[in-house]
Amino acid sequence: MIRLRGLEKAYNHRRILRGLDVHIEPGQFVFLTGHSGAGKSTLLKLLYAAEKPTSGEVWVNRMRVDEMGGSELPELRRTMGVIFQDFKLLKRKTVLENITFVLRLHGVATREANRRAYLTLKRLGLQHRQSAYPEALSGGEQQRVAIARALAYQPRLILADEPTGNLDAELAAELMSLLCDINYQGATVLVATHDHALLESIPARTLVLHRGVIEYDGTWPP
Amino acid sequence: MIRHAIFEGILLLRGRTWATLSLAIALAVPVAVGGTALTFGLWAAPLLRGSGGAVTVEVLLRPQRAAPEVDAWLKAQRRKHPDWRIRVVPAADLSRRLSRWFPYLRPLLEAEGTGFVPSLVEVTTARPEAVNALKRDSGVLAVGPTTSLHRSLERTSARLRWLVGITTAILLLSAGLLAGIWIHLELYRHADEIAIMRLVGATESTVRGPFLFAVLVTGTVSGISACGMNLLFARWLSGLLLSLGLPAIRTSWAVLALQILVAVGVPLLVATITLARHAALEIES
Repeated sequence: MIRLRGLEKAYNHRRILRGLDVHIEPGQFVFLTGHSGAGKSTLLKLLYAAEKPTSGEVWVNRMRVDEMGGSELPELRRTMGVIFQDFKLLKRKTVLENITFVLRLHGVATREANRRAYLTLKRLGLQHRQSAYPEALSGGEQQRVAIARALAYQPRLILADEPTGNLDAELAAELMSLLCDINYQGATVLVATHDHALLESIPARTLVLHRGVIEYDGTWPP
Repeated sequence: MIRHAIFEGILLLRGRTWATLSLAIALAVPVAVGGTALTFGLWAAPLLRGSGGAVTVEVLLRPQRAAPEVDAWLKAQRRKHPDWRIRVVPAADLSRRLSRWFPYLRPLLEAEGTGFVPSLVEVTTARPEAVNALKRDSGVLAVGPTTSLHRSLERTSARLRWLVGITTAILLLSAGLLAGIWIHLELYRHADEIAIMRLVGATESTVRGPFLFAVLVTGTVSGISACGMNLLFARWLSGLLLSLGLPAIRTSWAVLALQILVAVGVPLLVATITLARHAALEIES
């Protein structure tokens, strides 16, 4: 599902990632952890092609991401559901529209898109906020909308960047349970987090990034 | 995604009403100038072709002359000058021209009819100076200018052709540039949303759709306005031309369609280029 070979990323000669070699099999649940600035978000950005690596190879779903041209990117991004740390919701669209927009991109008919979006919102306890605009939502609610958007079309790969950052413990547990369900149905899940409680909540493979290299690869706690 | 393009496009237009209107006017003016010049050119071309270098001189006969006398005079002139093409302007036509040239004569013309109107004769010849000799004819009241209106028209058309062509091109270029700047500003204003759309897998057609729709609407409004300006100008000019004894201007459907096509096509082309450049820069960065 995901393969990184000799992956390097530098900003202004400052090396963030140093020769990463990682292989994630389809259907795996993987945590990516490390201190702030360790390169977790950068690694995720390289996976959904928001950044280009300085050197090395990035493979996702047997597609060479680092060599992709502009016209291939939408196709790659439609194979994955990304939960962004800063939510990245469309301000001028309602909660429901934010989700149906993505479903429509996948060719889902309007009525079916509305139905699926509603069901996903209901699953995340946000159905009563479907007509609200993102600015009217709390941080936690915005995060749940971002999660709903990433999960609505049941992608085979989910990348989550600090998905529980704005959620209380109860909601965070619910979200992790949701991600586990999706993983159980066959989707690959990669969660970037620095929350140790979260790492301990699920016995999953954990990659620890430190100073741009994988310092530990195994179940948590080490 | 068409619904998305229309919905978002309307939002774009609503968010920038004045800028959109300015753009529509900036586009309508050059298209109207070009279209009107084309209409005028299409109107003048057959007239200029038909003149074949000949000049039409108007000759006004004395009003006291009876119809048989006029006929005899015409016969004599045709015999004497077989190369002249002589046409008597119908009294009703002359009456109409007089009422246009001298509006204060209108009540008199309406009350008295065409009975008192003198006979006007049009002599078409390659040697207009020869017509001047008629000034000495006792039956002739006056001889009009020997420089043909057609020739003046030809000269004016030749001068205007380049002037209008270059002016239209410059104005169209400016309007295109304005459309590009408008798109650029809107892209800048919606940069965050566009970036998010791309991140969640939106294709370029989804991202560009609303902008293209907004430009399509603006272009259509400009095209329709330009057609309106063209028709109004043609109507005004027709009144003037009729008073000179020339046929009225008719704006052809082809010219109107061409105006709409240019008004829509130019901003669409500029928008397509601007959006493609923006996408390329975005992906590069």
